[in-house]
Amino acid sequence: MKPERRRFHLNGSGWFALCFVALLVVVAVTGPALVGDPAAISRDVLQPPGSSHTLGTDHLGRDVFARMVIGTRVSLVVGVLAAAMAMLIGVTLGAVSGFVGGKTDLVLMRIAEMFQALPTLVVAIAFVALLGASLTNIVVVIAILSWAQIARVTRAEVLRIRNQDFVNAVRALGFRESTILFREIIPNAIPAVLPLIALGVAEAILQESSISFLGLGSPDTITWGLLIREGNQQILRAWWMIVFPGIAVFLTILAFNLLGDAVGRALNPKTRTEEPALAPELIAVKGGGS
Amino acid sequence: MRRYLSVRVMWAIPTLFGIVLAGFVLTRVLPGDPAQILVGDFPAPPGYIEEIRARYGLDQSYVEQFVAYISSLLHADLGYSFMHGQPVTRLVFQRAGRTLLIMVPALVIASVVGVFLGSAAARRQGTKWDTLITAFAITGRSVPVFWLAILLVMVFAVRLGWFPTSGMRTVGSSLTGLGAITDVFRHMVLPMATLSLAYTTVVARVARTSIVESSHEDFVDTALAKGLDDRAVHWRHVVRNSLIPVVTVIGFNFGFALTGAILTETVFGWPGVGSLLITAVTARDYPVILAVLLLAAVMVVVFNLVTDLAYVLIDPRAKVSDEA
Amino acid sequence: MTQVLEVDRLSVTYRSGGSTVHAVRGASLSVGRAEFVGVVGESGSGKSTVARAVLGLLPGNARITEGSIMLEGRDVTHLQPEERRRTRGNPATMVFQDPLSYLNPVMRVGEQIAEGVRLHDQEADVAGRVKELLGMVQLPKEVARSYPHELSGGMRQRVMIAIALGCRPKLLIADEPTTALDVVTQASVLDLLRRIQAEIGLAVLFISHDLAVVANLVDRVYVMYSGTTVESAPARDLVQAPGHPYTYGLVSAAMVRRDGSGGFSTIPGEVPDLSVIGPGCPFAPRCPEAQERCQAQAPPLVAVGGRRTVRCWLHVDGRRR
Repeated sequence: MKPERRRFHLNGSGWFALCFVALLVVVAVTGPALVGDPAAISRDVLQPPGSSHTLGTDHLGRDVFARMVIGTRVSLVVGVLAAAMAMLIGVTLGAVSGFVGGKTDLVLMRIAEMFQALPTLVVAIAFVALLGASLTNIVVVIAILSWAQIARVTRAEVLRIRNQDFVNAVRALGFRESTILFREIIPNAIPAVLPLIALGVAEAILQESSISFLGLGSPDTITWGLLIREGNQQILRAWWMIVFPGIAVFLTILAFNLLGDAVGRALNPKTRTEEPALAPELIAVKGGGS
Repeated sequence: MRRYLSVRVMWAIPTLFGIVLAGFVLTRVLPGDPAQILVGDFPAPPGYIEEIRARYGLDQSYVEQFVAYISSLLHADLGYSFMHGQPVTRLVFQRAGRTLLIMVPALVIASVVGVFLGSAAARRQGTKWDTLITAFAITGRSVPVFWLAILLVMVFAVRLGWFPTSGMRTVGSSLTGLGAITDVFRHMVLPMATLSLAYTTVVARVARTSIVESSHEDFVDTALAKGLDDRAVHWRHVVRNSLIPVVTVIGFNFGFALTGAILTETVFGWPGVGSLLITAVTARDYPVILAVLLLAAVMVVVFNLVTDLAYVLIDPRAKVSDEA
Repeated sequence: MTQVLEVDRLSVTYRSGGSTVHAVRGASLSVGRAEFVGVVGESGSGKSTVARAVLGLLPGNARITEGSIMLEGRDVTHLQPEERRRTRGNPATMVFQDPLSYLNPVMRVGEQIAEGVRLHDQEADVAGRVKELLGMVQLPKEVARSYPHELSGGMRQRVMIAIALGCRPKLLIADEPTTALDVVTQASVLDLLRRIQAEIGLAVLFISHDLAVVANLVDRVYVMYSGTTVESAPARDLVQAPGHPYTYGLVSAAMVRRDGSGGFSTIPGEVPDLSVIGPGCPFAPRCPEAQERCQAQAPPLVAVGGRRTVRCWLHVDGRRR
């Protein structure tokens, strides 16, 4: 059975978000091949933006623009992977919890609650400090800290859907419970989770850049956070090292946030003409709880 | 009500226990000699490691170790930091005080301003003020705090020179009394402003949504039918009914204050608990890392509890239902 | 003597999703001092809209396009918002249908009553007046400290009445005040309303879809259909000798005949779509007495003696049913 049909509208900010994200993807994929070597040290140290170096150079003469383009790929990959992993864990656990109910449900939701209570940055820092600062670790820790909210929303959706008529109809046809869960219920629950994924990407990129900025990220990888960190050390002399990577981070996070809001608005028939009824950070507190 | 509160307190205890357990497990799980880990990466007098081993019973079974760990926690003994040359407990408390100095005013300002902004946006729904405030809120959510902090330093400290660029006191000065207080205050402004800005946007957004929702409720009609003016209806009826999500988010902010502190203090060189964590991480000062982790988790649990208490005070219906 | 309320050929339209809905068209009614008047109609008849228009509580997308509303002889139809606000509570106020959602859940009941008192009764000892009002609606004074969710439905509705009375109104509009209550509670609240009305000489406009309830309660009844008033008469006359075919249908449906003759009688057809106005009588499609003239031209409202008016071609030429 097909997922419930909903009409799809986007307003101005939604379109901007979509276009910007598309642009990012293009830059991430093709950019590194087109710009110069980001690690190329030169004698043009600390040059302001100009004709030879579009966005200036850093303290080692490296081209800021090239470094930013490379950073795009890392940011997107980390963001998307972390969000995807969180979704995988969250949807599975949330769906099982909502569908099976009983003690499993209680236990899983208490665990989710505890995970949600963990302060993301602090735990991420601890994780990375104790287990090493590789990109994999960063992706994993962000995923571990974001699955809980997705799980709660999924659970709420599953609870809502499993009592609907068509589920009973399919059940009467003799399908196994697990088949019903995965083929009928989860596909119908996913639309509610989609906005959280976009928001999750935004959050992941924010966390990753914070970790890199603090100097706790993977030292060999060029990320926007790292660029800002280097810029901070030249704060008196090279504003371009700070401003441009920062704008990149800001616009990217903004775009994914707007995308998440737009998707949420578009898929929810009730709030299609106004802002979402609840800020996303509250959906778990108000909407997902038992 | 009493039963509801005691249930919430009861749930807090296992959570705290879980955090303590997690801290314990972390130190045992790491590769290497646990005693060495507890001491950290610093050269310690040779006998000290043996002392640690004995004190924490690291040559005993895990259960006995855990008991020893708990007892040392209860004695507020969190170890010793060789990097700072102080017992960890004292170090963390001292730094925590400094963090609170910028955090509490920032959060209070953010909460108040946020509610007013959200209320203003809700009342002028659809007008350009609303769009402006909402845009401000969405932007705020997307700006990385550390970048905002650096920008503020660049503009107000470096370019304009109105405020110092970092630290808590002017280095090398020997001010006392009012002079000292003013000096600290001047150093506080930018970090506080950063935090305030960040938190205000979150509160404003939630407040606006909640107030708009409440304004569509039926009891607003009754208030209007009495002949109450716009302002009375808005504040006494609509806003009062929209406080629960706002309180939730404010409690959330307080509970997660450490996160904001870490980034802000790093940029501003403010000697609080946040920057302590970063230096400890870089230097592998494990006792400090663990202590700060514990503090962070405890703060979240405590503020969750406080928020639940606040619900009961605001909404008389909360006493009746099982969960807020 | 000036009527407390005089609504003259009122028309109200809503803009909803691109189309215009004519919720009220040419409705007229009046309520005199200390009169107990009822308005009966199905949902979609426009009765609630008229009530809200009287109080200036129409939603943002609604407009009064024609007609006038006079409160105590003063034209309030197109007043500025602040002036309009001053007409609420006093002289006119309203009691609503579902007291649970219409009472502020986080405010004590006594405080909600006190608000009205403070606004309209400057001299009064507020606490004392609240106690007095609670007494008038037959609630113990301890109720003042309660929250709405702690009270039963009947008690809540009495609180709403107390809130209204606290404003010292000349006109009380009750919009389906007992629809959400069970039959027994309904009876006691109606009884209370009737006694208060008589005791303090309050003009009451009672709106309901239930003719049986209204007929036993009020002095005079207006019947509304599809946005307009189609008949008015003293209550007993209306029920014993309905003039308009629609009223006749309502009366038949409401009265269960004791002699057990036949089953339920209903009015065939459906309520018309209010976004489309035809030229004729709105009831014509469903009317068993409809003639050619009825589809083509809307009948005027005519007086038919005995303080009655009817909007029907059958009565225009002086013929009577």
